[in-house]
Amino acid sequence: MKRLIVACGSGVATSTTIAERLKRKFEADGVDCRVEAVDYKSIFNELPTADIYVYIAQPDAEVLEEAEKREIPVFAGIPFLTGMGEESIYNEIVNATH
Amino acid sequence: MEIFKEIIQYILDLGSAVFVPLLILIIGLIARMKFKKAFLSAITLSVAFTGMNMLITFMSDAIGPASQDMAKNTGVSLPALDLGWTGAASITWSWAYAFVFFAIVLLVNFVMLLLNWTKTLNVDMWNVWGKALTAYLVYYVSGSLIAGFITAIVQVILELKLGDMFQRHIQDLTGIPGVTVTHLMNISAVLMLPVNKLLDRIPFFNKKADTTALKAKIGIFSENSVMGFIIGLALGFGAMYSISSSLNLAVKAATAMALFPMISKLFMQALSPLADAMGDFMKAKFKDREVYIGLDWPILAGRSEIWVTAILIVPVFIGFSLILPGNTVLPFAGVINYSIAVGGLLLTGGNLYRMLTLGVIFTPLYLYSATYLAPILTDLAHKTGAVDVAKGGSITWSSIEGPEFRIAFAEAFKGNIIGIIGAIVFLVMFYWLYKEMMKAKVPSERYVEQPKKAKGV
Repeated sequence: MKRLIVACGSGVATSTTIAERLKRKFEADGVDCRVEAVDYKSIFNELPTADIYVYIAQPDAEVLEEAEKREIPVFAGIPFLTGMGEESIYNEIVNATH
Repeated sequence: MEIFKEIIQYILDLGSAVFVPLLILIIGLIARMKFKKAFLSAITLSVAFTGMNMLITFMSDAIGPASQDMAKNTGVSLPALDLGWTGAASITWSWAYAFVFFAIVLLVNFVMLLLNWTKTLNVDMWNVWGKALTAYLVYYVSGSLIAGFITAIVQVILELKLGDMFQRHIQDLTGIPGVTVTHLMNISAVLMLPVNKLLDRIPFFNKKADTTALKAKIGIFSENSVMGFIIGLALGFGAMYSISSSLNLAVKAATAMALFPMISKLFMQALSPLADAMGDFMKAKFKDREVYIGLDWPILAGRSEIWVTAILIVPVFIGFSLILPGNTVLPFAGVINYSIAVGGLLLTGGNLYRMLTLGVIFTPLYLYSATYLAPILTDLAHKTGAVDVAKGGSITWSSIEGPEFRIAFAEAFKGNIIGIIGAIVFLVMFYWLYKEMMKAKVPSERYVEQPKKAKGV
């Protein structure tokens, strides 16, 4: 099973909000993917075991480089909070879980 | 009537780890969640409360004796245990009235938008606990529950206005259009404003530093476990422990710091179906209107100035705690002061020199406020049974957000004349900040950039 991580500043509130929302959507749509909220400060420990990365604040350049090196697709998480553009980014993420 | 009272008392006496999840189960069922889901939420919440209690007991067993020994050896007595925001949040959620604030946050925002008094739609339902904490603090100090609720309502209004005034700046700092931050922590900008005005006159403070490289160097200190280890080790030396005991204390402190967010996450998981549904409800109601979506502060966490400031202020925070007379708090789980870092970022437009200067000046405010908060938070923990505080011990939150606002209003409602004046002055200054931020240049246009060093130099 693939592992999707959502990272925010503390790995508590915002990332968990988005992670839980994704979990519910995945469950409703029968998407098989593990979702976890993580601490952005530990992102380099998380990326090696991740398959999809959803960020809240724009990640540092070296984080993006690392994700690219590991061929981990990266998505913006803000649409899941604002509701604007949520569906299109969700569909992209679902595609990435296949 | 008597039997009714007894039933309610019986339910409250079950303790927060049973009572609050029961409440969530009932609210979930009313909101037409499936029983299975609502039950899972309720159990997760019980686990969160119990886990937090375990962790706090673990932490006080490790740190309590060491800080007592430090007091004996050095004369510096800092008995109040700092649980950070995660600890404060879990205790606040255990208050029987806490969930009422979901309704208050929604209702006040609804009215403010209908009357066109704000453009901000707050969908951050996690920080509802902050309003509940304010209400409890004011209630405890003034004795009036109504005063507590009034202050919480004022807080919701001020948070929306913070969202309005900082929206342009946040868009400039993050590049994300249409969002803002409605977190109380940014209210720290109110008292910082006059100092920032003075700094305008000093040329040094009108240059911008390149912080990205600095963040890469010191970023490791922002890891919870590393921070816990260092503080634990320092405390061990302060207590004159042997190297081996100090190292053991350091590891325990690192463990506590690393586990806090993990347990806190469980609260979020349990409450998220409820919070999400409310956010969706508000978004649907105002979907045809141009609004700024109010979010929690981590959308700003990509700004390296926040982390550089937060980390560099840590030794200042701990240093002040050792020398300030009357302070009872050793910063531990709350040692990263986001109010100073994030509020400072928005006020100064990410000017590191100013953020650090403001941070040093305002750090004592947080220590004294945490000292003020200690008996209040301890009392709430005792009442709800959320956390077992050792007899005579006390708990607090060293980087309490919006302390100037919360304490001024609490003292004002108590009838303290200084509190009344303080609250009025604070509101006037808030209005001044609003005017200033509405006309201020966005961060990217405000200062002269320092010439960037060539790569590799």
